[in-house]
This record gives sequence, structure tokens and C-alpha cells, in this order.
Amino acid sequence: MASRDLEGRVERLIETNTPALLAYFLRRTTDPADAADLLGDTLLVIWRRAKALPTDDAEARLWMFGVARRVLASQRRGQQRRSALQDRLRAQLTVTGGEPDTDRVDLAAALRQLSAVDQEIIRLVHWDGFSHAEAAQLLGLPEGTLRSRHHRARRQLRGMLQGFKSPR
Amino acid sequence: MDDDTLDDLLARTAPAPSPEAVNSALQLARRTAAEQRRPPRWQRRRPVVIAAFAASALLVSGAGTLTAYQLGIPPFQGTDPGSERIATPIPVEYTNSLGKQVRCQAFTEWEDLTAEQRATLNALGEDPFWIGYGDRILISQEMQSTPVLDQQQAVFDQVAEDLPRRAAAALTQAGQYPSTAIYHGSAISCVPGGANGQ
Repeated sequence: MASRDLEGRVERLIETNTPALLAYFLRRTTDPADAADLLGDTLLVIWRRAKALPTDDAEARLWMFGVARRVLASQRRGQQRRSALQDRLRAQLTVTGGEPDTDRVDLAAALRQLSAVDQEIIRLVHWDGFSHAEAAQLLGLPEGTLRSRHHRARRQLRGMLQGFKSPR
Repeated sequence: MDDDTLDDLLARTAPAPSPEAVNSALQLARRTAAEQRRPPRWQRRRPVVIAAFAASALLVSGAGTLTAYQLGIPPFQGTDPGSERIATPIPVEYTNSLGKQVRCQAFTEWEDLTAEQRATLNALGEDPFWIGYGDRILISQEMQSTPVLDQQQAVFDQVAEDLPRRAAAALTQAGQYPSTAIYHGSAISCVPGGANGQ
């Protein structure tokens, strides 16, 4: 693919997936403002590795989330750039409001009791909208294994949430 | 609790960015795209020249160690279109919780600077304020014993806050600010970096 075509495609794919990438980071960081830095790093890596982008758009989307996953894993390396736009995004992500949602608090507490992999399966499938096959690819697990772990994690979640609802 | 209730709860409680944050994220994506798009053909030779100059400068100075190499070159990060990174770094140093001395170089990025403003900003690193600055951050936040990555993030955050403030103060003191100059952001690079902090 000619360079200009590649740039146009990368730009289009990034434009389409940026909201989901931002949400992906927001759901995995303790400090919401960190999502801004992680998104900034991910966008740079995607551009710099653009030649490795799969030709199929659905595969390319998974590849971009694979980059996001690796950026998250190597969070806070010895280097950072903070643009004025990133600062604005950090400030917007930090703003919280409204009453604390009991269901959200209970769910967060229940999720924390699952293993790290099972938590990630729940997030990928229920929050990020990935299929079992896609989540399996992202996590490097056989699809059958992911399905059974997902089923077990849901059962555990239901049990814990039921416990939270019972009179204490 | 049945399956449907759980599905509904999971869907309802998914943390999601606000429309304003999504809008800013898209602007960040567009800005990054503009930075990363290839420059016109006539500009493509410049990085080669700069790289060759940097390599020869290292050879001449004898600073051939990896650390010197990493610290000798500004962060491998692009700048916004039309902006320039001030060449003289701000030194930021601290001792991490593993007892290792961490040396960082921070840079500000600007648009529309005059030669006088550029000179003022290039001299910013000589401000005694920066002596012991990294350690002061950790002490003020009581983070001398926290994991190295948390320490590093605290330093990054404080630098991003203090750099534009100190730069604006220096320009104001020199009678060169306010002006048409636009602050674009900052960059920082540390050695050692990463999780082990060794």
C-alpha cells in the first residue's frame, strides 16, 4: 500500500477506535487521568508501527487493542510527553459527579475478588464489547478456555453480588 | 441474581468517558496524526543530518556510554506541528526507593518564540530552583519509600505542572511575556526508567 494510503487508513482506523481505546484505559486505571497519557502513548505506537497493521479492519482493530494492552502493561516507563491537549483530557477525565452508585461499588468490589485474567475477560466481553474469539486472541488463550473461564467468572460474580444484596 | 440481571448490571456500570473527554481524545488523535504524517520530501534529509551530527558530537565528546547516549538526545517523541522543543534540558534528579540516582531531562515545547525568548528558555535550566527539585517532590508528597514507578509518576506530574509556570515566570521577569508565544507541552526522559528502576 502506498504511504499516503497507509496514512489515510491509519488515520481512519484511529478516528473510529479512539473513543473505545479511551474507554478501555479508563476501565483499567486507578486514576482516570492516567487514561489520557496511556491513550497518547498508544496513538504514537500505532503510528510508528503502522506498517505492521493487519489489512483487514477487524483484525486491525484487535491489533490496536493489542498495542493498548502492551502500553498498559508497560505503564509509566522512564519517558513521558505531556501535551496541552493531554492535560485538558486528564482534567476532563478527573471530573466526577453525582451520587455514588451502590451497584457500581458492589460490582467493583466483586470484580476485584476475581483473578486478574478473569477480571480482564469480564471487562473485554461485557464492557469493551469483544466476542469470545476476539477476547481469546487478545489474551492469548484458547477460545474454549476463555469461554469456560468466562462462565465460571460470571457464576462467581453472581454469587458475590447476591451476597452483597443479602441483609448484612 | 439471574443471567439477565447480571448482564444488565455489567452493561449499566461500565465506566465510560464523557462526551467532552471523547471530543478531546479525538482532537489528541488528530493532532498525533498531524505530527506523525510524513513531512514533504525536501524535509526528509534533516533528521539524517541531525542524527549524524548527534553521533559525531557523542564521538567527539567521548560520551559513548549507553546512559550518556540516552541522556544526550531529547526524548524520542514528536512535537506538535509548528512547535519547537527548547534544546537545553531542565535537569531533574532524585534518589528512588531502591537507592538509585535517577537523572531526568525535561523540555518545554513552544510556538512562535522570538530569539530573545528562546535564549531565556534555554537558560531556564540554570535556575537554582532545579537543584534538588526531584527529591523535594518526593519529600513533599511523602513518597521516599513508595515503588519506583509511583515515584516516577509523581515526578512526571509535578514537572508537567511546574515547568510551564517557571518558564512563564522567567519570560515575564525578562519582560518577554505575555506575547504571541504559545506553550504546547512538555517532555521528560529519565535514566533509569521503567519498572525495576535499577
